[in-house]
This record gives sequence, C-alpha cells and structure tokens, in this order.
Amino acid sequence: MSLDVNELARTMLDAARDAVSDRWPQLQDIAEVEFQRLAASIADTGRLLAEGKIDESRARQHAHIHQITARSILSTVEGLGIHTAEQALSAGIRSVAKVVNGVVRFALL
Amino acid sequence: VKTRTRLAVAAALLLFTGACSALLPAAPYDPAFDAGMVDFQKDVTAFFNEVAACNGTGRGTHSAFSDDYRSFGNRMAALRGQAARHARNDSTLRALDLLRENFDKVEAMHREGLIPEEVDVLRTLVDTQLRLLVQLERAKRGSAAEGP
Repeated sequence: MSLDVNELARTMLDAARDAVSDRWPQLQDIAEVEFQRLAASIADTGRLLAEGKIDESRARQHAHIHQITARSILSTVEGLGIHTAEQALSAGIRSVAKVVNGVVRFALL
Repeated sequence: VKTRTRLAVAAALLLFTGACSALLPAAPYDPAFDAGMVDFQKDVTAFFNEVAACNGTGRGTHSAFSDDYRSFGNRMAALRGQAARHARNDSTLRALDLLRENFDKVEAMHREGLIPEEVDVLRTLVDTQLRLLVQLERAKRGSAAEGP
C-alpha cells in the first residue's frame, strides 16, 4: 500500500475547507452583530453630547471605552478564527489518519 | 524500500504535525474558567442593574459601590490567573486585559458621577466583552481537549 501525497493533500484540504466554510459565516455574523451593537452605542453617546447631557470631556471618556470594546471584539473574533483553523487541522488529520496509520502500521496520528 | 518509504512518510507527518502544533494555539477549553466567567457576568449584570436603580439617589454614588469594584478587580485577576495557566491562550488574556481596562474607566467615570443614560451605555459595552469571553472559551471545546 502506498500513499498518494497529492491525494492526501487534497483530502486534508477538502476536510479543512468543509470545517472552515462551516464556521466562517458564523464568525462574520458575530463580528457584524457586535460592531452593529457598538455603533448603536456610539450613536447613543453622540446623542447625549448633542442633547447637552454630557460634555466633550465626558464624550471622550465614552469614546475611549468604545475603542477598548472594539479591540476586544476584534481580539475575540481573531481568537475564534484561530480555533476554527485548529478545528480544520484536526479534521484534516482525522481524514487521513486511517490511511497513514495503515501504511506505517502503528497509530501515528 | 518499503521501510524507507514508511520512515519517510512518518518523518514528513511528524514534521507536519510538529509545525502545525508550533503555529496553532492549543489552549484547551477550561470548564472552571467558563463557569467563573458566567458567574462573573451574572454579578456584573446585577451590579449594573443596582447602579441603574440607585442612580440619582444618594445610594448611587461610587462610594456605595466601592466594595463591588474591589471585588470585581480581584475576580478579574483570578480569572486572568486561571487563563494564564494555559499556553497560547493569548486571545483570552488580551480580552481579559481589555475588560479590566474598561472596568477601571467605568469606575473612574462613576467617581465623577453617572447619569442614567450613561449606565445603559456602559452596561452594553461591558456586557459585550463578557459575552464574547464566554463565547471564545466555548469555541475551544471543539478544537482541543479540556484543561484542568
């Protein structure tokens, strides 16, 4: 029994693509929803400033907290993307484990 | 020849998996961290509800909530310590640092006094951070073994 490297690569890529394509829309959705929410909150601060309920100095404090929250959202989405990649890798390895383990005759993967 | 092929395949795969493990994060799902975050989120929600309810009254000042801020600070430090037990947990640690940064700013604003509309804005922002931290932790369940 021999290994077709191209075939293995294609199998892993297909499995990875399936895993990622399953998750990417979710990541996009998360980012879109959270940034939409953040935008609404920024608009609230703008309204409070326009209505004279807070001054410019206070609005700057709000803006700073909004910026930190935006960084937090990006960091989380990045983290979710990384775990998606890891899931894709695991799917790829699982997909070829049987074939590879058969060739090397021990549970390598 | 067969043996050499097997060895070559084994070596290539070990290199491949080794390279992948070096490049990809391996922070496992941590049920203790998850539970701690969920508890913390509940308490922070209750805290903002209380701040909103007391707003405009004498009970709504920062001094009335200083113990809560101190307790939250300690709990965030404990959660960070829990998260730091896992290698390559950068996204969670960064999100926790940003949460702490925002909490410090919320407290500073509270010292100066909050109007009711501001409580809503701040609650929304902090809640976003807490919710995403829980979501990020739960995403680890599908990609790695559970941690301690």
